[in-house]
Amino acid sequence: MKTVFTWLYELLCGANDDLPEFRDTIFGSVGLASLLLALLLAALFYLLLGRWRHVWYKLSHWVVTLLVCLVAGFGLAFGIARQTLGIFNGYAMLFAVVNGIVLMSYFILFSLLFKRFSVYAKRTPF
Amino acid sequence: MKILYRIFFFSLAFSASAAILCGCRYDQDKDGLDDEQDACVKVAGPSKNQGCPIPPEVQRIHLFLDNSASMAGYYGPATDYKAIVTDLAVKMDREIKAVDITLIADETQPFRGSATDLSNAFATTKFSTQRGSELHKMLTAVAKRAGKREVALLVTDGILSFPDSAILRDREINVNNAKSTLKNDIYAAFSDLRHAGYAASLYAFQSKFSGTYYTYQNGHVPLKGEMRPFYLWVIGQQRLLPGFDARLEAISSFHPAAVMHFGLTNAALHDYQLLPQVSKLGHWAKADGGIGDVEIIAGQPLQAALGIDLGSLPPYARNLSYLRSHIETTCEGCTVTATVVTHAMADSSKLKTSKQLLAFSRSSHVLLLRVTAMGLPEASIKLVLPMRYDNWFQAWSTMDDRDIKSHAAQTFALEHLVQGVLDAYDTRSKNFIEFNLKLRK
Amino acid sequence: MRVFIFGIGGTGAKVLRSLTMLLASGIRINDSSDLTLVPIIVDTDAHNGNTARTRDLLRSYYTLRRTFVGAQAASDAPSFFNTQLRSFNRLDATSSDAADLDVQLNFQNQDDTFANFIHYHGLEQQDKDVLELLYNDSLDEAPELHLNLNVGFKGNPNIGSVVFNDLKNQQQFKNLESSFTATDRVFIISSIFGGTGASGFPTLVKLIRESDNANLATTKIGAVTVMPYFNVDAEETSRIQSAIFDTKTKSALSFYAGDQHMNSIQAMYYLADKDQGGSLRNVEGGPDQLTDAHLVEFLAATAIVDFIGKKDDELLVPQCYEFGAESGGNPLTIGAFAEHTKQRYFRPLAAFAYAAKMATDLIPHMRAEAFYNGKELNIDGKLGVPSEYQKLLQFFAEFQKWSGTEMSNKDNGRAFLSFYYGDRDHLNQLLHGKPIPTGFFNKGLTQAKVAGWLTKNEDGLPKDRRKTEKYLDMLYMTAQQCLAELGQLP
Repeated sequence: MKTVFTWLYELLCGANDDLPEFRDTIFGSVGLASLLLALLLAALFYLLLGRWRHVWYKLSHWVVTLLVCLVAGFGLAFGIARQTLGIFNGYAMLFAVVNGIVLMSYFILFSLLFKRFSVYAKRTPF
Repeated sequence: MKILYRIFFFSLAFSASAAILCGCRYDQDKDGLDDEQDACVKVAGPSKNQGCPIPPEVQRIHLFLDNSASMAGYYGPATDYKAIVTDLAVKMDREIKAVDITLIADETQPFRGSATDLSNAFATTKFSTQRGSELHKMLTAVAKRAGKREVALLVTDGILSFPDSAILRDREINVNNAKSTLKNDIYAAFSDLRHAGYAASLYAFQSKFSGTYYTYQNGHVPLKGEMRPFYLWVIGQQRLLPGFDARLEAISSFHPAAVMHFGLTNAALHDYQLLPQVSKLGHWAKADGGIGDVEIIAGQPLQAALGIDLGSLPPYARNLSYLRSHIETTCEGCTVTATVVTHAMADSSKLKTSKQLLAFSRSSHVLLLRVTAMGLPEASIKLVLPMRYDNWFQAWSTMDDRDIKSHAAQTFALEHLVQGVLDAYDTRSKNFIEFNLKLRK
Repeated sequence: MRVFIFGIGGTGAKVLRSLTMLLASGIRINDSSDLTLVPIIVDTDAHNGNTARTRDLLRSYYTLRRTFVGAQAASDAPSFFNTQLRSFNRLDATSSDAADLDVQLNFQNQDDTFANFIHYHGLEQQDKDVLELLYNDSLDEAPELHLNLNVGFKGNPNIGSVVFNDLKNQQQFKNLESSFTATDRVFIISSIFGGTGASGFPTLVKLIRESDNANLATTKIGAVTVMPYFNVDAEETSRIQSAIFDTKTKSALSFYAGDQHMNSIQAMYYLADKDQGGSLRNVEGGPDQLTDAHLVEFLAATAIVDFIGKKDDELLVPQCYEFGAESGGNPLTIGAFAEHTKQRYFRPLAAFAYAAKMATDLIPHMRAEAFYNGKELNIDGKLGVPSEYQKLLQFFAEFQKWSGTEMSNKDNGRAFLSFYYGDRDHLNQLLHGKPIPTGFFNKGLTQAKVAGWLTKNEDGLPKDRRKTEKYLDMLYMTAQQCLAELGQLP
């Protein structure tokens, strides 16, 4: 899992040899947390709210959730990187932005997977 | 469809929970502290001590003074012995823990007084009145007093000898049997101690000696202020002793001429921390099991710093000259050299991340590996620091003390005494440090 | 079980229109899953506005049932458009039902004048003299002998009875007669104060009872005859005068009382609502005779349902029935009726009213809902059947007009306030006299709430059903939820 996340993030952000913390822990923990967060948000959107109540299911709601993913992905990466490194530099900023996009991508993938199980959002986003 | 959905959902929830439980936290020693924050990753310890076990505190110190007749010369007027011993007793009592004093030779006699009374007692009371005892017996008797949270110290001249009666029968018995019987007695005594979890330290001092010296043939040689060695044995539980030794050596007036430790380390050190922000040269990155993404360009060597904590090694093994002269580095698939520097000498100016700062702060030394060539895609560096005991005791030893005046600074059969202890603490590991590092292109 | 329902004249057509609305609302007439109604409009005025409107509505019902329910669906199924209709000239079970529903019974020579119809010009002079005594032979004012039959009988039962008597010679009637079975029944709708109904009703009963087919001759007949319930504008030149409605009624009733065949009718329903104000435009016939629906017509339609719902042993002895509300008042509301009437007739109508409102006003704005999507019901693509979808929306619109506008017309005399369709974003005021209570936390039947129900209901339907069936089922289920939210009727 860690290897996969490391491969993914280094593909998108490039490697940083001076900061082994990214390979050691940050990529793995941020990657897993992001995956789980996207899973959680998709489950919340499609399985919980999407089946329970007719409140959060529209395309506009989905776009807002996607933006939440972007912010959460950024925040998650920012927080973990800062906590682990004790500093926040340009590479960490790039990583945080990329992770926001990655989390959004996860959410889109989970959306395709989960929407069939939803009632109100089974045709969201398309 | 509903059943399918439920199965899917619960599998997902289960996987997610499992991933959270297994994937998010790394806590090898299961002490509740993530490895990220754990100063002792492999040993459980409370979080208030950064995850490292709190070393037990010594609760009692038992000081034994050898008062056999052969020690009389140390109790003469104005000897270093008396100054060192009284100073040691008082400072241990004040700075470490309460000290009780016992006189030991053929029999043991408790000293009726405190550590501060010892100085007066030396001036007013005649010590060294007893018949001598065999050293291994005294050491065994002393060790017996060292309970789980206690240490026992013995101040003695350290001379191995058979009883007088045996010498009367065979005047050469001490010389002929020092390497066998006497050494084996010592070996047996310390072997028992080792199995009971005891370690030992030996501190050597010099002192004026004014009195009769008894040769191995039991001949009497009067000495008048010649410098003679005497020894302080410290015996205690292995987990207790390093801490006690450290506090002992921290006493400002404690200046032994030589030191040896027995049984403080059982296994070689395998841990190191790669420090990419210290003296890094070339292109490489930290990888599982070593270094990855290595790019060697001709004329531009690659350098990697490894932080190592040698705190558990005996002081002599931590000494930079010892490290530099004994450390052995070999590489299969590359050309490598290693340089050791102390923590203070390392270039920490580029350290910025907290984990590296922490790793560096936990390192007593930094090992700089310089790779100049790497022909294969993979290489394996092996780094070893062999366990070489200090051999000062050989210079401090003599097997013929009949002309003691010309060998006053030597102790009869000390080499066999120390060798007996070394044999007792001999471990499978012959190395202080031993680790492998993979290099991948 | 088949029931042949003859709607005679303009009133007959209008009652059939109300019956069609009731059928569309999914009323469960009896426990028979194969109940089939055979509506027959009997009117020489084939271009009459009321007749044409009913004919079109029945045809729409027929097409919509085929598209949105399924031709083979049971008549007692919980669904809108549940009851099966069949064309009187395609009674053979093997005949295709793909064609439009044919409901108009044709008269021979119905475009002729009455004189031509009875071959007046070929008669001996003495016979002509007798006829001229009985019928006005003027060509200008109130012609009778020279009346063109294609505008009906203009309130002349003396003409109608002669024309209707000729029905027995019509091929369509002969076909019907021959295919009639022992389990079939007949129901006849007529008005007693006009021309076509007043004359056609007893003549039709006579034809049935004197039929050569014993099944028809002995069949159980139900009939509703509507007595005066509206006024028309007084126009001196018109043959239709409100002032003589009562006289004509009395005269006809007196005839019915003495007629053997009329007394053999097993269930005779009388309806009247006299002395009400207001008056309708006086149109003698033709396309312009298109009047608003009236509560009495709807109540007449309930008589049909009541008759069909009766078991055979309840129809052994001829009985007369009247209808009464629990309270009067003008305008009248649903609350004025007995509980049985509310549950049996108004509850289904209320459900259909909710569905009509949802389909026409709410659903087109629910683009964000899952069911709207092209891969689901494809509302934008009109469910893939644009013509039928449009027809359904027109039916719903017609229902809203029928129930919300026409019956509440003050010119009717007694206005009936049933449903209000004016609110745009909620259904809380749909039923007159029973608003759905709302509060800070409960906004009642809002568009969002209804959208949620529609989506969930659509999601729960079997995936292999046709979009059209799913659409109507979705509406039906959601309408039932709206009714549940409404609780008791007012």
